[in-house]
Amino acid sequence: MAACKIDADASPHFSKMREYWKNHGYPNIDADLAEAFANIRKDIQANHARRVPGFGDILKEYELYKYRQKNRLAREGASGGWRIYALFDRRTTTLYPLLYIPRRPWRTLTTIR
Amino acid sequence: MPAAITFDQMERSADRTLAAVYWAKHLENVVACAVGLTVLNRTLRRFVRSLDSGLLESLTTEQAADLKTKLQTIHSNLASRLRECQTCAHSCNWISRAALKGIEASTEDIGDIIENLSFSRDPQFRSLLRDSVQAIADPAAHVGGV
Repeated sequence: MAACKIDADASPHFSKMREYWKNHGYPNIDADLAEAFANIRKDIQANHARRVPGFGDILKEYELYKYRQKNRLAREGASGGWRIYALFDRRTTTLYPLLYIPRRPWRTLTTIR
Repeated sequence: MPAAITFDQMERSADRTLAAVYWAKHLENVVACAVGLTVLNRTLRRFVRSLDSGLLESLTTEQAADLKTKLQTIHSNLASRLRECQTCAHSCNWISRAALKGIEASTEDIGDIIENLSFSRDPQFRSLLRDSVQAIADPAAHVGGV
């Protein structure tokens, strides 16, 4: 089990996204995130972790991970729940969450930037 | 000479026989379903495991597009089968239930891979990722870590 640190404030986009979802039908987002981070801090492979390929030219020394998390408000399981994208820095074992999106509306992301 | 059976006795016997026919048919379907779902679950698990990030990283644009199309076909068929199984009485036995849980997880995994393949070619996502890497890599821009 590989533990890690989580810096949820490093990405300005992540903070904007959190506020966006809180005001657009997902008031429970902080509790869902807290649960996900508690699991991932103990084990970076928790929450159905999967490395995301295809961004080698952008990532440099980082790795991109994707996680699943239950959306408690919808009583959905990890299936259909949230997806969290995060950068991982092996040198400092720190994970930087970038995106937090419900399973379906990818297009909504374009309105948040 | 054996005593002739009455019509009532014949009718009862026919009903019992029909019940046995239905039970045997149900059993055959339950067994077939459990075997089919178990084989599907194992096939899916092997397939998803084979789609590791190293392999996906090495795909050309055309190969990624082809793979995504195939995965979308697999995913939509699985999703439709899972919806049918939710209302199917065959899912009541524990073998089928265990296999269905595995199939659900693999279906989600395939959905995630499809999404990742889409994002890897999406200019907005790539731009967002580039900005985030720059914001995080700049030591003057953040202090943190818990």
